[in-house]
Amino acid sequence: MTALKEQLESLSSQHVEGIVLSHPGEPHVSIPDGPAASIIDLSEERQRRRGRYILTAVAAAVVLVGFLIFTNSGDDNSAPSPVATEGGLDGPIAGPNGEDLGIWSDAILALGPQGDADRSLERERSIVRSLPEINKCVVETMGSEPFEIEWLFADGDGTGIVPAPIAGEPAFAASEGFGIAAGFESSSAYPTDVDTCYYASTVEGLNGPDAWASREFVAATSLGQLVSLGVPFDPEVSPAGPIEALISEDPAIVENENSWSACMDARGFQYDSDVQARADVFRRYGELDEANRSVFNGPSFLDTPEFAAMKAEEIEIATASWDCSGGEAGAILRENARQRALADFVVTYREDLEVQYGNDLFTACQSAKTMASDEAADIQERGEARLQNLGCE
Amino acid sequence: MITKRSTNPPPGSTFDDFFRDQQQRVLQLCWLSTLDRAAAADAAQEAFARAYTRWGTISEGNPGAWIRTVALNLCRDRWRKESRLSDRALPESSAGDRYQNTDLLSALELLSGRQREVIVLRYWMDLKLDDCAKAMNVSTSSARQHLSRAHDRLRDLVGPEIAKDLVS
Repeated sequence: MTALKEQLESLSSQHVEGIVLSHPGEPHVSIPDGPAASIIDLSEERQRRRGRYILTAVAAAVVLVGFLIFTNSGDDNSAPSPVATEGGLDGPIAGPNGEDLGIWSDAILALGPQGDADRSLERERSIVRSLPEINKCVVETMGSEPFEIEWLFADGDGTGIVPAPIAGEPAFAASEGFGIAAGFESSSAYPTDVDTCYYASTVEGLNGPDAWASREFVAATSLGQLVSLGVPFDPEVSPAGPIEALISEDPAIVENENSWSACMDARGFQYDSDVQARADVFRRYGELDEANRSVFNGPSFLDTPEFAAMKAEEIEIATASWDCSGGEAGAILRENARQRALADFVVTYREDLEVQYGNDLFTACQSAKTMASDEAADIQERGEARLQNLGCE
Repeated sequence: MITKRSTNPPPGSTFDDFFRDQQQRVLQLCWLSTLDRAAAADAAQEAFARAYTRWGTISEGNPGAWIRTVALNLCRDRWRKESRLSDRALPESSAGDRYQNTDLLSALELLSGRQREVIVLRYWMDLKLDDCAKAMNVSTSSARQHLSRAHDRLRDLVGPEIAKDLVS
């Protein structure tokens, strides 16, 4: 046994000591051959962890308010969730013919390829925009004192709330589904710099370039919990495969992509779609990586001028893409087309989805709702107190 | 209608053996993946619950590989949600000098989730790179990339006794 294996074995066995899993078929019967200690109280342990967080209550308050805005909090659980449209939040999520999607209306807000899951950042941007004063205070606070970002369970992507990204910066590229460089760069400790934190976590948290390779599907409830559906993007094996096709065939998307492509061409970038652009950027990073790897485990390509140039170009492409797709209006248009396609998808494949994933979604939704009701009051109270202390009312 | 988890015994009679044989290893895998005791227990429990409901199908294939992949997926989800900047929640009883591998633990904490996964699969489970990739649900080249970066990172962080093992 190697020293590394021995230490991994030792560390892991020490740290799971005392945990006894329940037999799924006999949840109340202990396993005779298992360790003797009692089952740990997970809820108590989580509470303890939470207690040790340095909670940025301002961020929590922002999340909470965003939460309430986007989940139409207080509605009956069975009521359809709102979906963003050109005018904001209106209309229930329903099937193409008005079908009630039940629990899927919660999930559909963010059902899609994992590589695109950071579309929910549009939601974050909306939250930030809707609360400019609070956001301003958050920014000022971050700039004036040591500030540890709380990675809130509630925000779903584990991204925390940060200022809206500015075009031309890495965070902006990441928010547009780019930021691929971060997947290569973020092997160090978690950054405390806000922009870097946002940039890295957005991509790294979503598996970086892997997201493009594996196309793992993720569903997120409207309350922010992610549920990994864990299926590869392959129409032959996955019922989720047709989503991409449905979205790309949407007339609004076709029209938008045509104008996008011409606009990008005028700015010096030849792509048919933003998906193709991201794939191309990812491919080129891969080529650079390979080209700079003289031997396996050789020196990193991160320090090369080619990498820096590629990163700059990636940001340029992301910025051009945002401009050419009509900015905020284009984003809303795409999001609406995506929601239409997803609703259509759920209606078509509902039975398959429920067989495969219904239990996960049910559990996630129930747990998210329980969490919300348990914690909302507490978060709000602490958030308000924090805002008062900061003079941010 | 939401599919409910069956309370009936799964087809076949070997799930009990599987559970008994694998629970410690899956728990350890989850802990190594998350460095979080509660998240590990949570993910391992859920992985076995899923295995139980699908036992009739997965027992015909490779249930060990199946639960490894499912457990890692679940660990990843829980780690994202709960532990990104939290402490690593050492057990209460861990205070003092009981643990001898603090250096390695600190080094593992500084790896990304994917890097930690590939190190654990490669060096603790002794899997080939192809099998690491399957367990991680990524391509082999991607797994190789994560492993290479994990090597780079670990070599800077751990002593020569461990660094010499980072060979493939």
